[in-house]
Amino acid sequence: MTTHTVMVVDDEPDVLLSVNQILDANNYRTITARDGYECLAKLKEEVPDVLLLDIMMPGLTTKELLDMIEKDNRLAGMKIIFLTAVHSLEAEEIGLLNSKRVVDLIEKPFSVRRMLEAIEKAIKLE
Amino acid sequence: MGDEKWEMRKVRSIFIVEDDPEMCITLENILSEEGYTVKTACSGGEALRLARKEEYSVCLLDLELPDISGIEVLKHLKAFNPDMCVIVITAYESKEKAIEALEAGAYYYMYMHNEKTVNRAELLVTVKRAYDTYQLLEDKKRVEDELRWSEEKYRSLVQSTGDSVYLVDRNCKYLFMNEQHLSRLGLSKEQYLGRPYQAFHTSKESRWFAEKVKHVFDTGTTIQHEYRDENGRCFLKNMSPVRDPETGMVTAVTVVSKDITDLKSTERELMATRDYLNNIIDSSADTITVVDKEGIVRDWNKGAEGVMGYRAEEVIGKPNKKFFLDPEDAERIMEQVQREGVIRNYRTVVLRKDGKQIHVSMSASLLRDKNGVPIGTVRVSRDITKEVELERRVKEERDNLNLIFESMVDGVYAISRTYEVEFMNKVLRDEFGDCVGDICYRVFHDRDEPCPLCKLQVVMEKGQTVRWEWHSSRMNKIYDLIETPLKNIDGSISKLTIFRDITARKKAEEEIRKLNRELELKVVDLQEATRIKTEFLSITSHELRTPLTPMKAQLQMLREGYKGKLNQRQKESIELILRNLARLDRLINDILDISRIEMGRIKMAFQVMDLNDAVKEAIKMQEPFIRQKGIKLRVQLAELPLIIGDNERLRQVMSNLINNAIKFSPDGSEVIIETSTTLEGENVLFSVTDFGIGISEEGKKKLFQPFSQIDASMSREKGGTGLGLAIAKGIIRAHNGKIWVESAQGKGSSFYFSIPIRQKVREKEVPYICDSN
Repeated sequence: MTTHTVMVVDDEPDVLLSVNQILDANNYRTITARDGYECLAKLKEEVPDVLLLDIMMPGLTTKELLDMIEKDNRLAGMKIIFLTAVHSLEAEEIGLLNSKRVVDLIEKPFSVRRMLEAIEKAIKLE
Repeated sequence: MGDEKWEMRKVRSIFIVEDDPEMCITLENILSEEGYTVKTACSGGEALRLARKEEYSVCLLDLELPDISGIEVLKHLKAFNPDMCVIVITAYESKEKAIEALEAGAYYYMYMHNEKTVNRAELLVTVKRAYDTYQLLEDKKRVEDELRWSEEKYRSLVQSTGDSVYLVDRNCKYLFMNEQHLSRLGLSKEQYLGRPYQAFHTSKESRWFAEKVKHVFDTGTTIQHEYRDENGRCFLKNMSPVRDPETGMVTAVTVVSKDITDLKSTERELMATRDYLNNIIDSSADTITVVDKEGIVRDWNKGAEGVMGYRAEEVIGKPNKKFFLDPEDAERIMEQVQREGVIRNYRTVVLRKDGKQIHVSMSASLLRDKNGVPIGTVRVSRDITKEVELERRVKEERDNLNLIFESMVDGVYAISRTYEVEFMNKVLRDEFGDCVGDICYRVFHDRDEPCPLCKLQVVMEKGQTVRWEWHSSRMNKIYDLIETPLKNIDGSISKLTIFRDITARKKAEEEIRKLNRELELKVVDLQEATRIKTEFLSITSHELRTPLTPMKAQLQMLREGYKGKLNQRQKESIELILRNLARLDRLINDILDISRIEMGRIKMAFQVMDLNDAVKEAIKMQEPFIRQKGIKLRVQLAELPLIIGDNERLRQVMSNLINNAIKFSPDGSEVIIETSTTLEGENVLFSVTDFGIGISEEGKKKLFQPFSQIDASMSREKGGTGLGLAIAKGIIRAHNGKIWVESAQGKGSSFYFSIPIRQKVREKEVPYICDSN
């Protein structure tokens, strides 16, 4: 059975830890990053199957991050799931949902089940 | 001619020729006593000498004269004056001498009885008779003279007249013809006399003439007629009888024939002119009448018939008083015309035959006969009813206008070209008094010359209406003026001004502007405050959620056994925490929602939708809860027209309402969900009815406000946030709809909302939910 890789990007360490624990317990390999820059750096080394991305983050904004990801063809197969405390409508407002790479949006605080389902669905889309 | 002789005759004079002095004296004495003037001669020679000088009417002649025989003297005397009556006296009783004397022309012969004596009585009688005879002779001569003279006169008249004059007898034979007629017929004197009329005229003419002549002879009357000859010339023939002075019988007919051809043509021309003039008078539409000095109608043209309704024959000869509405007018007109000779544009009211009143304008002048004596008046009248009506209407409109001006609150006045006040309404009169006729700038502004800002020139010359505001520094007031040209009946133009004191209004406007500026500033402040609040909330909610995330994740992991197996008590404990966590999460959401709604920041995603779809979705979301409480759900959805709305939000509202219904229903009870369109067909209607505890009157009032008592307490008990209905109201209001409740405590509640089918939707606008409705 293939082990899929999920990268989680969130500025809250507790969130990162919790997600890591969930994914770990469900046979996923997790990569964590605490902000956009770290995300980009780690993406250079490895391309995950799914990217779990928090919207409101300091430093590089999610929009900018998204744009850079878009440009990188290496990351073409990677699916993005937003993980956010911000309302979906606002996300739409910012124009974050335009990209085809973004396949889902999970609202915080999330339910474990919801997250696992979303990731499964995203991987299956490949 | 014989007048001198008359004078002499009055003094009776007698001529005595007697050689015997004694006899002479005797004779003289006798005659003088009788009043005669006596002249004597004692010889024939002397007698003849004297007789040559003077004329004597009677002469006493002695036949025995010394120088010349008495008979000779007699003959001479008679030669001088054939009319003289000579009485011869002689002593000789000799008939031969007497006869000779008589033959020589003596009047009488007297014998002297005895020598030297004469019969006095006989003498006197004889002389007297001689005198009388002489007079008779003189009279006869005079009469004859006169007759001759008269005849001459007439003859010359007859001959010199341009008319034809001729005489005919009973058989139409010419007895006389004057020069004119002679030349007319082309005859000479010899040719006509005794010839008949028929000889010179056609038989037709002659027959006709003979008839006329016979008529004059028979009736003795004069007849006159016109007659046209074969050359077309026209004659006026006058045929009169000539009577025998003694018998009175008609002996001849005098015919005077006047060539009136020219007269006739003149007459024809005159008649033509008259007809022409009559035509003019008749075809005039104006009334042309002639009324004499006594007020009797003498002439009445067709125009008068038309205007007045009376035919000419009905009014000619009758007084004209009855035609006037005011009978005095008839006299007034007559007087005025007679006084002034003519009147123009005299306005009066006349009565038609049918009783209708007509306004007329009359011109009248005197009609004079050929000597210049006024005999009546000629009047020409024109129907001016329409003009009068127009004037009346104009005046009425003007009066109406005046009425309006008088009752207006604004000031109204009119001034002439020369700044004179022509009109002021009540408002102005109350302020300034009645100043009509005064100069406007003096009255209103206390100036000696026109105001610099005066709009009189612009209004008058350009005919423009000017509206402007005048700021009077003197009175510290502001006026709104409308100034417009006003056309008067007489054609002149005045300036009409309507003005209003708008000082207060201006102040108010200024106040409003000030307030607006303040408001704007406040709004900016508010917007800023709002922005800050929103940002705060955004950040806050995010911040609040952040700890919740790992909390929930960890708890779930614990529950799912990620961290090892749990006993029942532990599981329950975790459930409790998770429940409350969820509640906290919801609360944060609701607060964010509310504040966004309040700030107007909820964006409705409007689309064309069927409410029933959202209803079904909402029901589906509540299915677990429905099953859990065993609720009997009755759903009645009517066919609904599509509306424009946010499907998601409406579902949220309905889900909330259904959830409440279930929450407050006893287990196993009924909940009814219905959709329909309202009676007017203007709205779609949703309702959910439960048979639970119901809501008190007090509770109903505050139900849709955030954190209202009822909702909060119930929510705490049943796990709600206390914000649901407030949010629902906000969302429904965003759809221009209404939300309300019907409920009775202990009986149950029905929650309704309606949304208009046709509506203009503005996506970004969401009303405040904290207002009083």
